[in-house]
Amino acid sequence: MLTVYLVEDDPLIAQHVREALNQTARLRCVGHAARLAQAREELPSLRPDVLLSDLGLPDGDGTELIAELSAAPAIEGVWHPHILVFSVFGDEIRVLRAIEAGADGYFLKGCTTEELVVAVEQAARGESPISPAIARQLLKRFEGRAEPAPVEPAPPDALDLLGLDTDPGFDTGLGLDGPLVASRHEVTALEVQVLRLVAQGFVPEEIAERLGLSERGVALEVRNVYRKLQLSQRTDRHAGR
Amino acid sequence: MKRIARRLAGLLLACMLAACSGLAEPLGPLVQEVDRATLLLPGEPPRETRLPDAWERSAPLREGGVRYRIDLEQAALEAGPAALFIPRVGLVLRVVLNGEPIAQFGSTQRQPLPDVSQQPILVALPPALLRSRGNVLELEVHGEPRREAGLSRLWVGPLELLEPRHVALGQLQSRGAWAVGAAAAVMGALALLLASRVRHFGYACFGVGSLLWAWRVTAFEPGGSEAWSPILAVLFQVSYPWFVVLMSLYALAVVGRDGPRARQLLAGWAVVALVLTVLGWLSVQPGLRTAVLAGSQGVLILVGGALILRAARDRQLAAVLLAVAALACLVVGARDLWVFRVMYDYGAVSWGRYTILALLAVLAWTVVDDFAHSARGLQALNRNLAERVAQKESELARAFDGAREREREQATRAERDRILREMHDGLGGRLVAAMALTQQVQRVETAETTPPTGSRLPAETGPPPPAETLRELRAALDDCLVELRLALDSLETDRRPLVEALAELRFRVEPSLRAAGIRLVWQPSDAVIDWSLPATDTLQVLRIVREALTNVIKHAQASTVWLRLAPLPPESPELPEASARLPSEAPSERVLAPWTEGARPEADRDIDPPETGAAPEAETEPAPSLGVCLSVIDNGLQRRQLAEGSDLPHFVPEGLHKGRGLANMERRAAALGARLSSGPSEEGWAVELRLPPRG
Repeated sequence: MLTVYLVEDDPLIAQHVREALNQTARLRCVGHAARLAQAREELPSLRPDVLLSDLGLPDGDGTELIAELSAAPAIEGVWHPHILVFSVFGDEIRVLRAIEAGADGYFLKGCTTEELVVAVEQAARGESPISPAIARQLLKRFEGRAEPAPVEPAPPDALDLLGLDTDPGFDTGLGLDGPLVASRHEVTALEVQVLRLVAQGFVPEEIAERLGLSERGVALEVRNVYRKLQLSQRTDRHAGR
Repeated sequence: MKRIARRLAGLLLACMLAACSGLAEPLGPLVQEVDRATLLLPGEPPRETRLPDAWERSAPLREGGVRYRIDLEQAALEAGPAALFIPRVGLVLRVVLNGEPIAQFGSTQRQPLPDVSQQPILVALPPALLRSRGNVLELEVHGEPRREAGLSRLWVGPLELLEPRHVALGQLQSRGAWAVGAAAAVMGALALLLASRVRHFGYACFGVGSLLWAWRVTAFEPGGSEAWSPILAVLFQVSYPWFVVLMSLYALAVVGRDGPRARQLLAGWAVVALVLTVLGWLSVQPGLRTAVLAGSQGVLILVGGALILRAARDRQLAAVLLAVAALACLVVGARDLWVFRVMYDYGAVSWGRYTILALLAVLAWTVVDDFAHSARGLQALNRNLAERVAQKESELARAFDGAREREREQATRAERDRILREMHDGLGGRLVAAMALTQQVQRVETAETTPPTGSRLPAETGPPPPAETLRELRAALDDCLVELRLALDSLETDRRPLVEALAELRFRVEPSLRAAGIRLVWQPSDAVIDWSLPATDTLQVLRIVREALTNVIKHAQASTVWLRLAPLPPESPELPEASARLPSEAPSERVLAPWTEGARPEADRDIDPPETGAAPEAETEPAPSLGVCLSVIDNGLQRRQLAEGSDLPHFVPEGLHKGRGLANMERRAAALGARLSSGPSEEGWAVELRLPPRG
C-alpha cells in the first residue's frame, strides 16, 4: 500500500483529494497540511511514499519544500518521497521551477478520481506525467542549452545492410547510440523525440507505439529528462549562474 | 586702446624721423656742401644754377649731356684723402677733375640710357690730380626726356667723413626698400589669402595694394630699357594713387563705410589718376604728375576725415588706428609732395614708402582683432548651440518617453480589453450556465422534498433528474476551466505552431472525451507541424475545435473522433461533397496512414481494417506557405444513418444545425479569415476549418 501526504490549503479540495485517495485500497492518505511549516514538521516522521503538494500556500511556495526535500540527503538513507506538484492550471513556469527543484511531475487539479489514483501510482513507480506545454518549455530549455544529438539515428543503407525493415520503432531504438558521447546533463536524441511528440499532442500510448517503446518506457524517458533538468539546475546553482 | 594707438602712432613717427635725421645733419666745416654749380650746356653760354637740379622741372625735354662745373674749396681737399659724395645723380655720370676724367657711372653707348640714380655715389679724388689751388670738378650728366634725370646737392671733403654717409644712404635706399617690399609682399599675400577664404572686400583691397606697394618700392629702374618700359614707368607713377585708393577702400571697409558711392568715387579717381599720368607722360608735363599726387592727398584727406568721424562716433579701436594711420600718411605724403613736387629736391629720400608700415601694423591688428572677435563669437555660439542641443535632446527624450508610455498604456489597455472580452465571451457565459444548472438542481431538490400538491410540476414538463443535471454542471465547470486555460494560453505573445496549441487543447479535453467513451485519434500531418498563427488567432481556432468536440460529446453518440491537421491543397478550395455511395464502417486507415507517419500499420489493425476511401493526395514535402485544413470528424449518428440507407433523411446533429454553437464557430472562422464547413462526409460528420496561407 502506498502512503500519500497532501499539502493543500483549500479545505474543500483537500477533503476531496483525501476521499479520492482513500477510495482505493492501494492508497492511503497518511496526512494533510495546509501550511508548509506543518508539512516540514510532519513529513520526516510520516515518511510517505508520495507527496502531493500545492504551490501557492499561505506561508510560502511549495517549491521551497520540494527543494528542501530534494537537497537534503535521503533521511536515514532510505526515505525520499516521489513528489507530484498539484496545480490548477499547470502554469508552465511555476511547474518547471518545481520540477527543477526536484518534483517528479505534476498533476492538474480538477481531474477525475481515477486519474489521480493512476498518477500517484505512476509517480510511485518512478514514471513522470507530462503535458504538451511542459514538453514545449523543456525543449526550449534544452535547445537553448546545447544542440542535442541528431534525431536521425542511422543512414537507411546501414539498415538495409542489416537486413532490417525500416521499422520506426527499431529505427529510433538506434537513437540511443547518439547520447553515449553526451554528458549526463545533455538530453539524448530519444528524449528529445519523446518531448517533441508530447509537445505535438501525442499521448504516451501513441508515443510508445511510434517509438517502439512501452508506455512505461516513455514515462521513464520523461523522468530522465526531469532528472537532467534538476541536475543542470543544481550545476548552474553551484557554478553561480 | 586709444592710448595704445596713440603710442603706436608716436613710435612710428619717431622711427621715421630718426631714419632721416642722420642724413640731414650738417657734416661740419671740413666738408664743402655744394649747392651751386655752373651749368655748361652745349652751344649756350655758361650760367649759374642751384643744386639740386631736377631736370623734370628745370628742363623736362632736355636730351643728351650737360656739364656742371664746380669750384672746389681748398679746405675740403686738404684735411685728408678727399672724396666726392653725390646722393643722387642720373641717368649717366662722368666725373672730370681738373680736366682729367676720373670716374664714369653708366654708359652713353646704350639707348635708352641706363639709370644710375638709384644708388648714391662716392668717388675718391686722386691726390695726384689735385692742384694746390683752383681745383675744378666737372660733372657730365646725361639724361632723356620723361626720365628723372638731374643732380642732387653734393659734398666734397675727407673720405673718412663722407664714406659713412654714403654707406648709410645706400643702406637706407636698398635695404629699406627691400625690407619694406618684403613685408608688404608677405602681408599682401596673407591678406589676399584671407580675402579669398572669408570673402572680405577690404582684405582683398589691402592685399592688392600691398603687393603693388611691394613692387613699387623695389622697382629700382622703372624706366628701364625694355620695350614695355613706358608701361612700367606709367604704372610706377600711377601706383601711388592706386595704392592710396586701395588702402582707402580697405580702411573704409574695416569701419563699414565702403558703400557703393564711396567705391565708385574712389574707382573714378583711380581712373582719372591713370589718365592724368598717361597724359603727363605723353605731354612731358610734370604739372600733371603733381596734380595726381596732390589729388591723392585730397583723397587721403577725405578718407582720413571719414575715419576720424567714424573713430569719434564708434570709438572702435580699428577706426582709431586707421584714422591715425591715415593722418600719418597724409603728413608723410604732404612732406613728400612738398619736397619732391614743390621743392624738386632731386636728392631727397622718400618717406612715403614707409607709410605702408603703419598700414601693415593696422592690418595685423585688425586681423588679430577680427579673429579674436569671431573666435569669441564662435565660442559663445558653440555654448549656445550646445545648450540648445541639450535642451532639444531632453525635450525629445521626454516626448519619446511620453510616446512610449502612451504606447505601452494603449497596448496594455488593448490587451486588457481583449482579455476581458475573452473572459466575458468564454468564461462568463459558461459560469452563468453553471449557475443556471445549480438553480435547476435546487429546483429539483425542492420539487422532490415538497410533496406534489395538485399539478404544479407535471411529470412530463418537469426538470431532468438531478444526476444528469449534476453531470451537466460538472461538464460546464470543466468547460470553464478549459476556457480559462485557453484564455491564459492566449496571453503568450510568441507565435507558436498550431499543432502545439491543439496538443494542449487535446490534453485538456481528453479526460472529458474519455469520460464520454469517445476515443480521439490524433492525426497532425508532419507537413504542417511548424504552421503557426498569432496567439489571438490561435485562441479562436482552439475555440472552434473545442466547440466541435463539445458537440461530438453532447450530440454525436460517437465512439471515435478524428482530429486532423493537414495542408490545404490550393487548387481545391471547396469542401468535398459527401459521397453518395455507402461508406465504410470507419474512416479508412489508408487515409490515415500518411498522417500517422512512422506508425506501424499493424498497431492500428485492431481499430478497423482498411477497406475503402479516397486517399487524399500524398504528402511528399512540407508546404508551410500553404494553408491548413483542420477537421474534426466523428463516426456518430450521421455515419450510422448513412449505413442504414440513403433513403432515410439525413440526420443533422441538433446542436450543429443552425444552433448557437455553429453560428459561433462560423463567426469565429470569419474573424480569422478562414472558412468553416460542416456536413456529412463518407467518414462521418465532418467539421472543416480551412485556414488560408499565412505570410
